[in-house]
Amino acid sequence: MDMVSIKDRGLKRPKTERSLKAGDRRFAYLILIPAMTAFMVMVFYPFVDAMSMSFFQFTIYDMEPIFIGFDNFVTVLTDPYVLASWVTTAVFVVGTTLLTMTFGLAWALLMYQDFHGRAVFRTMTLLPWILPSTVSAFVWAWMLNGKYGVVNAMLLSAGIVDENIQFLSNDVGAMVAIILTRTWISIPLFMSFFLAGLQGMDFQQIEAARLDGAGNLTIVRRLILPHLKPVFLVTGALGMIGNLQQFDIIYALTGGGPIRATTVLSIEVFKQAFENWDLGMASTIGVLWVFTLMPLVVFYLRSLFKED
Amino acid sequence: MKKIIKMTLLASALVAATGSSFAASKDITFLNWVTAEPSNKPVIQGLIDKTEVPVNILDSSWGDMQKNIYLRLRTKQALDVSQLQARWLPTLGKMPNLVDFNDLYGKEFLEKQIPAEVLEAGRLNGKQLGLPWNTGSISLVANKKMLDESGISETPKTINEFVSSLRKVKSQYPQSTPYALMTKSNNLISGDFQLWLWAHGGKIFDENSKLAINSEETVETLNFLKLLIDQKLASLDTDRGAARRLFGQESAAYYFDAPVARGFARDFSGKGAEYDQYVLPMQTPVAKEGMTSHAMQWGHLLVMMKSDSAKINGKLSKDSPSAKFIEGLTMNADIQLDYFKKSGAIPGSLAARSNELISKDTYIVNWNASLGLPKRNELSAVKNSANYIAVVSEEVQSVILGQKDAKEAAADMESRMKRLMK
Repeated sequence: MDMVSIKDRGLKRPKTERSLKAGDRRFAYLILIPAMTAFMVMVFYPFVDAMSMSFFQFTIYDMEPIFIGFDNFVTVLTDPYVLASWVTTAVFVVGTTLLTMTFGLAWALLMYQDFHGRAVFRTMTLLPWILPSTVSAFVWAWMLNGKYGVVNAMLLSAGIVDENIQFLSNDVGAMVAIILTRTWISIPLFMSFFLAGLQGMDFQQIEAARLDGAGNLTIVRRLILPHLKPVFLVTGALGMIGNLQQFDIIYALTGGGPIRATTVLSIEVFKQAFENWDLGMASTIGVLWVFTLMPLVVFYLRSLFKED
Repeated sequence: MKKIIKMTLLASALVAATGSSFAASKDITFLNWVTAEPSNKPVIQGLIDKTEVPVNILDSSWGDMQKNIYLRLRTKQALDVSQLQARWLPTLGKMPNLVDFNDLYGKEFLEKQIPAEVLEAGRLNGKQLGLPWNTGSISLVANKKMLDESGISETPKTINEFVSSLRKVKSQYPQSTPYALMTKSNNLISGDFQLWLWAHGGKIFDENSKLAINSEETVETLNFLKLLIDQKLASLDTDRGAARRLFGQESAAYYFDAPVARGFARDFSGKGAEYDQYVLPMQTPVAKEGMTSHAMQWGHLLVMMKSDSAKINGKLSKDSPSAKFIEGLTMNADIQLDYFKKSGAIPGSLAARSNELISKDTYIVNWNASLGLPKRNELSAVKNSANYIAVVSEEVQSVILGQKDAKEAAADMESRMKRLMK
């Protein structure tokens, strides 16, 4: 496609490309081998294997997989409890992405200001992102623990509540906890994107707007947000993809419970594979999960190529 | 530059090819969850040393144990001997490569070493796939110190008396969870639910293996559990580990546990054997006087894989390292009594069980008297049992969290289980 357009435009091919020696080309292929091998082994083969496994019954009771056509898909798509995982996933993904973008932008605006110790603050902001997410999840789980948690201790000592709240044992509390934890971990990354976007802004525009009497809110609404639109699109897509894939934080905090209140798709796949020992069913949900992710991935990749 | 990259690639390939040989070891690989508890590690290491078999101990948390066994076997990673909860046998017994101990040691030999009713826990489809490491039941234990201070002189016999005693404990210890009901982890929730269902006279399956879960008894059980939560006599977010801590720290007066409850009370009270006097096994209270009380059969098994460590000259042998190791842990009275002294785990072998150390131990005598009629976990032998356990646990939680009423949950348990049976 690119070559045609170059030709159409009457441009010459770059000299270096044409003059690449055969030996160099072979060497280029050689150093591609490790990456290609890793991709084939780690990504392509497992994906194809999971795709094919979704057409088989393969539980702990089956020595070999048994072909059953679309039975697994019918079971998944007619089971209201499994289907509810899509709704739970949507609540988690939308809630987390919106919160992360809001706080990420707010924090970026704050870190964009010139104040004493800004570099230290910016560095400290990255801490939640640097910590392993499972460690963060366990820390939050202990903080929110219904018996020994520091959050309950603070609420009790401040006289706000007179008995412990079981944050992780009711459906709303558990969902809020996983959304907040994931948001806390993701803010630094989103902040970095927004900060990079802000640094590309023409500061004189803001100065001019101020001279014209524009307040902070107007500047954000009329200047900053339109300028950051491409960043919003990319971070939004990236955030939603990452949150759709989220597993470790949710598993460590709630294990998908209480009942199925936080059983998102990743947890559902894990439960089918390692609690119900049904690899066929787990693969089926995994395949449907990929199709759920696909529109976002396509959107993200298109945004990237547009940028190029 | 090219040369350097080529050399690097070559060196990497060599390292990868030779790396596996460094990892090889002659020790047998023993996967268990007991050593995942740091205080248990030296105890088990001491027992293993006595078997004189070189062992590579791998530990896993109890909750991840089934998954780790499954993954190691399916991915053909080293695994020679593994610990198993007895109720997992119907599921994990389907895995390939498990040794039938009748073939290895001989059925007669085993029956001379271990009582038939104890061996039964490791039997599946006529094969002896597991050998009992320790045995017992899941029974109710009471904290006698808390009962005494709450003015409760006798353990409750009926469920009404039990609730009334919980209220007394709550009044004496306002910050306590009088009964540490399991409200976390599907396996634990379904276990406690079954014990109370039996206490109400109900069951999940009838004698013909047909569903009997949608019953008046189930509704009563669910309402009873909800009452405990609503009146703060039990609390959410409690698993066995939390219950053991609460009990030892005098923040829970009752909970269901195995005989190892005494060992944990010693640890968590910080008073060691001095605290034994307050750990009181008792019969599960029943709905009406005269009804049979039930405990749940419980035990830990050891299973052995048909790996190289189980063979001599390519054939399964009772003189192989794996066989010697299992024989030491399950049939050597000295090793079993040592384990009992250190952790309170009741041994399976005849020689150890007949020792005075066990037969005259007041706690064990009380424990055996508390059993009533022990029953097997009704969901353990069902095909795809994890699905059934999840259904029971989710419906119980939906009632105690106020999302469904008991009748609706009982009906949903039945309809969801029927769907699983198709």
